[in-house]
Amino acid sequence: MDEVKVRKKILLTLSGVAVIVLCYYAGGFVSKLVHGFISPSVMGMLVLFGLLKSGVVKREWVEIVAQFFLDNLMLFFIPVTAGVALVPFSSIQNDLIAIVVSVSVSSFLVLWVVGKIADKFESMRDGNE
Amino acid sequence: MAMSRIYLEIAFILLTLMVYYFGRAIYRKTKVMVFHTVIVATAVIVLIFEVSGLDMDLYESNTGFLKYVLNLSVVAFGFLLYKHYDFIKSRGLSIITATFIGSLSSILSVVLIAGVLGASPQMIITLLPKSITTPIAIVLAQKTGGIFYLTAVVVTLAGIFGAVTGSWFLKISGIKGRMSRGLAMGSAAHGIGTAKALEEGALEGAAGGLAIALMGIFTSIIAPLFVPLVNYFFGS
Repeated sequence: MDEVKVRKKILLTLSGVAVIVLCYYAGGFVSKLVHGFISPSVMGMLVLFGLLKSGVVKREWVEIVAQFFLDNLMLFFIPVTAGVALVPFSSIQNDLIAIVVSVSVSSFLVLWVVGKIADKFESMRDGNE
Repeated sequence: MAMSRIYLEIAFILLTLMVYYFGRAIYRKTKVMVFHTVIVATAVIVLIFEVSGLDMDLYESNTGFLKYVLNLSVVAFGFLLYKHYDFIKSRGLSIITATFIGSLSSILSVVLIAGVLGASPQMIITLLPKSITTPIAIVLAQKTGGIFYLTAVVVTLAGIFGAVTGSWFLKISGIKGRMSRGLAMGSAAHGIGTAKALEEGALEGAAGGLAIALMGIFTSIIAPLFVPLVNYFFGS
């Protein structure tokens, strides 16, 4: 009984890796068609969504692997954040105030704009019901 | 030579794994935002290389496998989009409109504020993906010619900022809807904000997840259009 479960999990892990890798390369192909305007991995994300939505790929085929990636995203970008040590401080120094002010003000703006628009739609919905 | 490079890759994967689990344990224990997994893990790696006197370049040029998998993790957002889309599909138009305008506001405000404050065009381009999830932000910054190492750090800090201040800011702004709040947190502060929104409820968390995926897509499409404008208006 348990052996069957383990075998199923292994198969679904392999299918998940296969589907995601294939979507990545399919995304690379579509990306070339639009002259790289959208990067291969973002295109791959849209390909995966399309395949799931159309039912070509079943949810359980990718669920284990996709969820693992989403739960452990940080593991894969730590090598990039650590690379900030390679950026000389002198190249950031002059822009430090611009960075802090623009990022914090813009974050508040996004919170406000998205929240207000969604609230507006919600109140329209409630009005119609 | 080729063989020793494989050993280095494996050693660095193990190092990254260890540091990642260490950072996660610290954050789970302290629950203090400044000790977020990414911050702790990044600091430990930088410290190890500083103290040992090893060249950071050695780590950066031998972590190709993890960086390849980073691309696959971006693809996995297609599953997130699908999972949460089915959950709240009756609100599709509201969600798409809000995140699209959110993405546009994020880009426009960064360009205007950083530009007026005298940031260099390359710095502005580095900051453009600040509200989207780190893997997609890195991919976008690489494509547009930003300093993507810095993008990754700014995105993490923006996420922490949004997660810490978001709840309070939404309250004083009179934004009450549960879905609206989750959507706003995911849009402004990606995964870190969504983790916070999830503490308020499952609906908030789902809306946040959807916002991460949509903000990533919209910003990946809109931001490259602004690159020539940034160079034209703020270039010397």
